[in-house]
Amino acid sequence: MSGYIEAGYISVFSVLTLYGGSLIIRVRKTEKKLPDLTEEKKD
Amino acid sequence: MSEVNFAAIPQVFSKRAETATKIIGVLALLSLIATVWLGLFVTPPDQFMGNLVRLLYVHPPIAWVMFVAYGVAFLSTLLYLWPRTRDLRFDRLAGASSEVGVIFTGLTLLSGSIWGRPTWGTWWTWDPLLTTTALLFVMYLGYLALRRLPGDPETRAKRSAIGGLVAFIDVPIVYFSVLWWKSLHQAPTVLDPVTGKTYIHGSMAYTLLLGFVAFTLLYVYFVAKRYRLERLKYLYDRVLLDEAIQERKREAADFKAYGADKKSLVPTAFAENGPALGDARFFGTEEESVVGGGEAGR
Repeated sequence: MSGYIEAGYISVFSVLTLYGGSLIIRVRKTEKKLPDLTEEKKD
Repeated sequence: MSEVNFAAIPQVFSKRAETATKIIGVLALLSLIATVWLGLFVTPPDQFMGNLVRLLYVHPPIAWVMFVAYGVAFLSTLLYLWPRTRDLRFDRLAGASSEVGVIFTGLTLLSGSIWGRPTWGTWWTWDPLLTTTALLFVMYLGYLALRRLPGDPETRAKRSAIGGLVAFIDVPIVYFSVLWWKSLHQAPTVLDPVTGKTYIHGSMAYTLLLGFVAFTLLYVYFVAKRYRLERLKYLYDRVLLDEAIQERKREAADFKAYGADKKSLVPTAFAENGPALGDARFFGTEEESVVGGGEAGR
């Protein structure tokens, strides 16, 4: 396979991993600032 | 956060929605792995493009998600602007979907550029489709910047909604640009909107279809997470605001109770003798002081 295919797949999935990872971390950090707001815990 | 006032948090998160998001995330991951495996190792090379066709399983699904994301954002914006359905949840959904859309627009341009170099002989050309897509990327970046401007949630939502509608004008232009103008980029492969024919078959078609499903699932997962983040921030701001209001109320109550004892508000010497000469703390400068009373009063 040519280097273009690898470059295409690696760049796409790297960006998606970085964005997804940062999103999960940001959600968790914000959740820590607040009490547990899920239905079961609040009841 | 021991002093959090739960009365300020009217909404709670559904446990079912959390579980559904996790399931969608796992399904997205598994289908993406399957797409990559099929795309790189199972499907045959193309008659004309050879192995370069393997980028087909990534590039069109990403572009598809870009359109879906902006479509969802547009509908959410309309629902927010419509007085009967006006709700900040639609504004949050529009913001979340647009952000994911911007990521996928960037990836469309990136993967397209990497594919364009060996097939067209250039990383970039001012082709109608490429140019309008780049414009779309910039316009939605502007929309995201607009969303970050300070303001109360309602004002910010209205402002963003107008920006979102303006940015969406470019979406149909991007889609139809390959049909309206002479473009270097090929017309849609899966389903040609003019002839209604499909130009892909067999394992290549199934892999491409799986790619569409996989990236759509990933989009849903990202939007669910981004929406949750936006809602958490909103609730956190409300908690902070509520705490600030309670604090001001406590201060006001303390001051009221303190002020009931009038003598305690002023120094003892002042209460008994009035202001001393040169005491400008309460009544202005020495020359301006006109308050009488006491030995030094004028």
